[in-house]
Amino acid sequence: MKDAKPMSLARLAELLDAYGAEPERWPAHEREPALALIASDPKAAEAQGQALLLDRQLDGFDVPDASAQLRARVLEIPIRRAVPERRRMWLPGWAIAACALVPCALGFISGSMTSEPDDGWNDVAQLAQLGDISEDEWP
Amino acid sequence: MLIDAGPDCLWAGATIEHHAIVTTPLPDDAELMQRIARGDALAYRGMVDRHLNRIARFAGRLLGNPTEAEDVAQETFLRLWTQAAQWTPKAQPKTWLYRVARNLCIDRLRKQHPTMDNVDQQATHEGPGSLFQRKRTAQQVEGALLALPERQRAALTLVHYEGLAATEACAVLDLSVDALESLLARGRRSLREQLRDLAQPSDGEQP
Repeated sequence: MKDAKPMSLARLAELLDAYGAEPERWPAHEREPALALIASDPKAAEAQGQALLLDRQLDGFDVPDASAQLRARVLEIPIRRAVPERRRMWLPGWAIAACALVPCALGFISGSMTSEPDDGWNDVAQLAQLGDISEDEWP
Repeated sequence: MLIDAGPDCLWAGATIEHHAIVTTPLPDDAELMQRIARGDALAYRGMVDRHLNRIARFAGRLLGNPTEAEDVAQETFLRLWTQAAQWTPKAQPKTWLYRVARNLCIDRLRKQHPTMDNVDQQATHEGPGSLFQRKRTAQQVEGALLALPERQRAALTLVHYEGLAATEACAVLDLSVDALESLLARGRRSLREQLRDLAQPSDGEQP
């Protein structure tokens, strides 16, 4: 970036305050003018050195990568969970229960609507079919 | 059978032709997301290879609790698998993952501090005394980081530790570059203050 405007000391201070001393963390378009200022101005170089102290301290706090157990659990997710498309068709538990109960309820209702009152005629008819009742025994 | 091909170099979806393993480069995140949305478990594995470590570290630094951080990382990837269809190409998958992970972390931080309306006010006022009682440098830095408001900690973690460009961090945090720089500067200033004594360790102390 040859036409980059020279950077002021104030802007460099803001850059160091925000991103620290490492140029790769600075916005790409500001790296070249910042480095040029640091190379030419001892105050700028000193400011970068101060920022570097905090960077080093922060680097002392290391956090481990994902454990093998976590990785295994995460990789199992597609095995344990249905693919998204199929999953969208799944019903919640209450809906499944409702689906199971509706036919029972309908059967109960239709049964009670079609059954006849038990007034003895069913028994007589069955006996007649079996030939166990004579005509004069009919009620 | 899947071939463990490493994060970025080779696509795990290798084929075997004439006893030779033919590999192709791992597709970019956007393509993997589209495949995951169609239920492609191999594409999901590609995203895990590429991003699980960074999400686990990010959550670890935000929460300061390895067990909770693992739960957040797992939940983040569960959402990746089940909600990939909702992802739009406007957002980078990497920043989408960070956003999901951060929101999950905020939920957990709110549960830890239920009386707080805004986790941004979470700056614990333990004071330097309790922080400096810690014996090791890493613990002191961790304590100082955890004492920052969540937004400052998230910004510092993304930029300093995860190496995100300013524009990427802005996308995760939903901020302008100016606001991000302000957040970072306040965070670093606060850390410098808390770690002042650490800059000059005493003779008997290991650096």
